[in-house]
Amino acid sequence: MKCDKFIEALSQRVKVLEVTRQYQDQVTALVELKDLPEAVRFLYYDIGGYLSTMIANDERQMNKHYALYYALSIEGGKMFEGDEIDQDEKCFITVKVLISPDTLTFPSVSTLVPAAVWYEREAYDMFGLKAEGLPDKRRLVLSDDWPEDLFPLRKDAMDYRHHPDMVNHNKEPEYKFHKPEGSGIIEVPLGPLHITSDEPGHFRLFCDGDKIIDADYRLFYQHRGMEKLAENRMNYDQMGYLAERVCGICGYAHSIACIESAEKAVNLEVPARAQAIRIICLEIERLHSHLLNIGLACEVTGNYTAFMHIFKIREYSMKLAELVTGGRKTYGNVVMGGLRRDMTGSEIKKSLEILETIETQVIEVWEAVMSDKRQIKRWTGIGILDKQVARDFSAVGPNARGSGIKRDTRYDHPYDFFKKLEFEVAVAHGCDVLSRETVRYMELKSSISIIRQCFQLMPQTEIFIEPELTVKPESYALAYDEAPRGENVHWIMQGSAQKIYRWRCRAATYNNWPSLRYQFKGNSIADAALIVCSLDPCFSCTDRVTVVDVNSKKSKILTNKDLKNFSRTEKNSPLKDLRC
Amino acid sequence: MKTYEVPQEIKDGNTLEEKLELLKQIGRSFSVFRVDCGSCNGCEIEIFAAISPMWDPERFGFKLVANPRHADILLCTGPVTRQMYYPLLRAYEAAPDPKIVVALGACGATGGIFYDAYNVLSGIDKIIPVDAYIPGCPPHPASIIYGLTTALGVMEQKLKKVSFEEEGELPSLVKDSVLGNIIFERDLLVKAKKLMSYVFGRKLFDKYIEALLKSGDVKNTQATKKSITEAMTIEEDPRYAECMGILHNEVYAQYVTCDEEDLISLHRVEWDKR
Amino acid sequence: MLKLLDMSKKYGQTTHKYPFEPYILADNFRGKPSYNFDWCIGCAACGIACPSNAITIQLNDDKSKLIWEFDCGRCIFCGRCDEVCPTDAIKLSNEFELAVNFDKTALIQRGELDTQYCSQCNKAFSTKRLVNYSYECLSKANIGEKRLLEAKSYLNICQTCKENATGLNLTSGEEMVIE
Repeated sequence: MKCDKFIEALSQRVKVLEVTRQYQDQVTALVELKDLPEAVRFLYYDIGGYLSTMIANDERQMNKHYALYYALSIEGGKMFEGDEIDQDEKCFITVKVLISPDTLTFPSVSTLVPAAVWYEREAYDMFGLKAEGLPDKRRLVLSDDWPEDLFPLRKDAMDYRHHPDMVNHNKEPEYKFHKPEGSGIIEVPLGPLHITSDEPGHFRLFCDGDKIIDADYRLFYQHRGMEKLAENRMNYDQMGYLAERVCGICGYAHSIACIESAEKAVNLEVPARAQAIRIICLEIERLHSHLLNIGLACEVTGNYTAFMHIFKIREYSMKLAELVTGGRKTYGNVVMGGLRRDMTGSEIKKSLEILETIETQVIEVWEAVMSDKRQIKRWTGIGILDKQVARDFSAVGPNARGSGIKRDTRYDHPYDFFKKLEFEVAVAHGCDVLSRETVRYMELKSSISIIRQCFQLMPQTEIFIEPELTVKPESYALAYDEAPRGENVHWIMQGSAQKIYRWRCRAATYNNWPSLRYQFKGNSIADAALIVCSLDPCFSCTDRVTVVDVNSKKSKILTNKDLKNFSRTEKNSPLKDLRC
Repeated sequence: MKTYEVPQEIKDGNTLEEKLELLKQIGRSFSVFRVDCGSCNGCEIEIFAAISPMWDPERFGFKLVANPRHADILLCTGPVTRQMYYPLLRAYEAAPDPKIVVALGACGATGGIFYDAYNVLSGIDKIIPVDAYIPGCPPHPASIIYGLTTALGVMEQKLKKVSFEEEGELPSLVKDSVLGNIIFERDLLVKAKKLMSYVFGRKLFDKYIEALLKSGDVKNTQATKKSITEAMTIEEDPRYAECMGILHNEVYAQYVTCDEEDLISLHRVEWDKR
Repeated sequence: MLKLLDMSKKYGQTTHKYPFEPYILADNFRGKPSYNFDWCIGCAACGIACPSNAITIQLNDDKSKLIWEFDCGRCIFCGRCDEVCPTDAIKLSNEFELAVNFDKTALIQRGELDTQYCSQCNKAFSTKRLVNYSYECLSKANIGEKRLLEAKSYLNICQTCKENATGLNLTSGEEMVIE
């Protein structure tokens, strides 16, 4: 069966205590605590895999330990042609360890595999598990005024509604940023509130003159405590709605992954028609998200006309979503066992007409944008993501595909109806902003072709079956799908008949953030906004900027308009009068 | 749990008279500053879409500004998370008095689906006084434009509290069964919903019962087969047609004994989409 | 650059004329739930299904009425209430003009239903309408005459009393006396 070959190789290397199978392509291997870094490193580099997610779990009620699960997607290193595992051998292998509640420590994996850095910081935040040897020990997720010794996701820590007191807002606690050494370094903070887009996040850019030499960021302003909410108040049917509101742009991919992990844990097979319509809705979401991102990338460099045209086309894709699902953004049609909304023949006919319009206009607008030489010059050579950095940090989505790594969940691990569809993975080799935008454009076209194929092959079965929930408590499974930003992975461990025991939601951008500081290096401040935008984050920012020159102690407040103007025109640097 | 108390000078600057005075003076040019207090981003994207050329709020004079010190209206979204509590208050105190605060979306109005999570302070009106609420998850751009124009008094508010206190005569809610056994209708509805989901399943159910009644005698298997097949051929939408046949074969056949030739052959339904 | 300007000329003005003209949405758009009080039987299926608890169902202080309350500010417009309602009393309409000024209570819809008291222990346990609805369904379902007569009585008994009676029946063979 799948994965057996790799487990054999792993047991030659380290001692494997127990092997369990969750699904036809998911296997868990329990190893001893001291062997953890070597086991993960072996699977990651020697066999060829990428770190999909890491889950920390409070299993003291079951076996008196805490547990860590490192889930790796075994698909080959993909650094060069031929460095790939065969299609029918690709699988997921999870490395599991148990941690005693007396010591609460485990050897850190990030010394050998840098991709695990954020996961281990979050394990400390939520459960209090300390990683020995972890280079970066700061809190990741919770706010700065959260009490020191309160770890929310432990089962006995607190009620899910408990709110510690707030601090007076004039005495807001500070966050420590990592500063590089050297003199003459200017620190540029970009704080949470901003005008241009999306979510709040605080960035600090450290610049020498005009070039950025390093960056640090503080994110998770949106942390709402959903994982604990799902454990307490939600049953299986309501979780789809909660998962959809994780993110407002790729929310549907989250709700599909969440419900599919629950379905996989009970081995439930969804009817074919429901699978086809799920794929259609996922691809509609991809259309609107990529159009949004290309439009923003044009706007940040000053090309307002293209931005407005692209948003006009995007309105058609929203209309398509409204026709198919009844809502523009929150589709809300997933339940366990299938879908709760079908498509009739007349709806299919109307959708095909709208698709025609979208396709012709997208091709037109892209040709117009590409014929503008200045636009191409602004996008070339900016924000280079080195291939080796992407490999080390497990980058996903168009970010990785723009650097030549052919990673796509629809191709590596086909789920649902994808086993019957044909499509091409879009890859570019430039590593800069232009390649990433080109990858997104190619994906737009392939999405439209996938939707058309689904309509042609639409099976005539039921849309929904009653799930016979023979819930086996403590059984768990992974589910994955390709959101517009990359690979989305959800993990559910079942609890009692109505509620889950643990839900871990790993959004796609989570894996892309740690490599962002390498993308900043060597670029000028003017391009900072563009680089963040091309990452297509589910957390973005640019806003009011305070520039402080450490040497001369002069400071100046720039408005967002100044910074954006500088990004658009590259003239009249706002930092001119600070240097002396 | 202690939260913000609005300082006295901001309260004095923000009375109802001052706000109405402001509305008269700014005429048709309003500056809007967006504050995202930890939302999922859906509302932000809908605000973006509301600025796009299809909806064009600049016809009414709305402009987005970059700095809260230039703003007349603060458009807040998101249930207030602990981290965003501080920037929200900084923006509120920086905006000049009198100001209008609009809470957008289910999360902004009451906390939405996150109303009792541990990191959320549940609704903007728990922290700062709010002047207008726009429900929706996320609100349609048309709702946003309607909401902003209502906040400014250009359009009228349509919703009012509705409360029924006395029960009247109850109409009979259960229709008579066509076959004499209401369990038949129940199974039919369940199967229709499984085939075409609750939105279209109800319509499918109605179409099927109508076709059944047209046959004249519901217990006569030949007559019903003829009438259902006829309904399937006239039906424009191939999906409804096919599902009516499936309902007949699977549910009706369990309540009225049918021979092999009384069942409908589904191969006759053409799947024609072009 | 010039290609973009050509496109502007080609497509002309595409702005929707809302609010000067009404805006037509797609069929089956999920707008505001509208409550039909005459058809509501107080079964509370919508309250259990609602993911954000926008629908709350509680007895009032003296237990004489069941209060059904819906707060549109917390609604996430998912349509679960519409899906589970047995009598189509709550349906998602096409309304999207939902903004209110100053007073949040304008978003509330409310209904009060009379409660049914248990014939054995006299506690409030359900609504009159639910009991009548159940009886109507049973009477059209092809069950025997005697059974129907029994149904008329045991529908008026609350959960706890039924459990106690079943327990007594199983342990000591006593039958429940139904008036």
